[in-house]
Amino acid sequence: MKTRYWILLFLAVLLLCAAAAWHIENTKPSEALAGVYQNGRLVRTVDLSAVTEPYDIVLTEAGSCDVRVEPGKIYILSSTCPDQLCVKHGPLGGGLPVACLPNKVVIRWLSETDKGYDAMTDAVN
Amino acid sequence: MKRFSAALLLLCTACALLSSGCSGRDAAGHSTDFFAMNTAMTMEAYGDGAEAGLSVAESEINCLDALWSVGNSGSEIVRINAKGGELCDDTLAILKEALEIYSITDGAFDITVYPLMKQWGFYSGEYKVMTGGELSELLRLVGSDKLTLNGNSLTFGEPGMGIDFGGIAKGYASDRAIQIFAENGVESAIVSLGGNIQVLGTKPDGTPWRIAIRNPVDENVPIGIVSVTDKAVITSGGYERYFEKDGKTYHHILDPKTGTPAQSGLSSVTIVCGRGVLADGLSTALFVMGKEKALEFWRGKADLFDAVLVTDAGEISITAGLDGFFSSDFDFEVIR
Repeated sequence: MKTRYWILLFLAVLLLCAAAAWHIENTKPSEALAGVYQNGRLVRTVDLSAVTEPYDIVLTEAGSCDVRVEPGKIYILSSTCPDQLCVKHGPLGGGLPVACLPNKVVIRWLSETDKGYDAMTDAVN
Repeated sequence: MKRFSAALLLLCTACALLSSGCSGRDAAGHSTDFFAMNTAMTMEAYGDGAEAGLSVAESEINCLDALWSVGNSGSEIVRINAKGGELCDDTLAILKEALEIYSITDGAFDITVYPLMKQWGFYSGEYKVMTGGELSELLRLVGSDKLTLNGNSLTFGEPGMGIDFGGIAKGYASDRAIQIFAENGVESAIVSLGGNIQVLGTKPDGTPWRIAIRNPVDENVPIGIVSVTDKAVITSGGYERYFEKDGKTYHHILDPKTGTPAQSGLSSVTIVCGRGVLADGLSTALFVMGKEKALEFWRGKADLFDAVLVTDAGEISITAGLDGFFSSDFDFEVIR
């Protein structure tokens, strides 16, 4: 009787742990979560895995910057900046954010998948 | 009751195990994102003084930006470029660093490329390909040996000369940020000033920081990862800032001797060393030198820095000090 009791208790605890682990795993932020910042403020969070139809986020605080959101993809479609480097950058991909310096707009991953590194060095300037 | 206590104990143990398995970095971290020096900057610090350190470091970088911005009519560098004059302590310090790097690299790094950079249009975005007589005239204005520093007063040897700290300002700024963190009791930090990386100590979990090096041809697949502690990891390359005209690409790293974009056969140079300002200047200098000269230079100064070179053909070379600290999915040679 005693043994049976302990087995049942052990199974109950195991079940509880499994449920808790499942809960933690499923409440992690999405790995396709991008943040759109202007003037250092997070103005929009976009879960790219949940996007079904393309839409635009128009930011006009400094100059005008049109951020296009598509399924699995986010990029600066057009900008009033003179060099258009942000538009040429294309979609958010590797370790570096998409940035429009004149308009102070940055798009970056909020929860990157584990790429196995902490930062990426790049020849930006 | 005994049974209940035992069950409770078991439950608590399970929960403790579960929660410890979920913990991430073991110290409280703070971070800040901001714009300065024409780029996006991110700093992350861990420990008791992290929040204060970040705040002071951000202010300091904004001050340096205000001093050295060639696009800001009120900056010290614009005043100096107009007619020379007295320099504040930070400008004097960075000028001395620039002159030292100019000297040891035999002029491969030179802050007096300012008039060239301006005429090529790299400041305004109104690009123009410089050739012939116009280029020769501008080359007369280039050469840090034409600068005279008397105390804290700078004079130019030729009218029309000017200086630009753009090649080392972010390296100087990351050195200052790391110094400020240390003064505030921060033991672990990482800064990314527009792709210039510098770290303080190890990661909070005690392991080295892992810094990926951007692949010049595919931003999603780094050419490799270098593991570092208390180091700057800074890259120069022509693949990010350039313009195209008549089907030809012109990047922004000018060879001070020719006045044109350096065509050295290298697509990127990454320097790993203890000082950001040196790493920043040397990455530009070695890019200008090309592989053979760069490696010859390294052999004479192997105690100062290490490097990762990527050629236009995609061949990767690392210097001996990085052997065992560099990993890559690509083939690479170790230079000794």
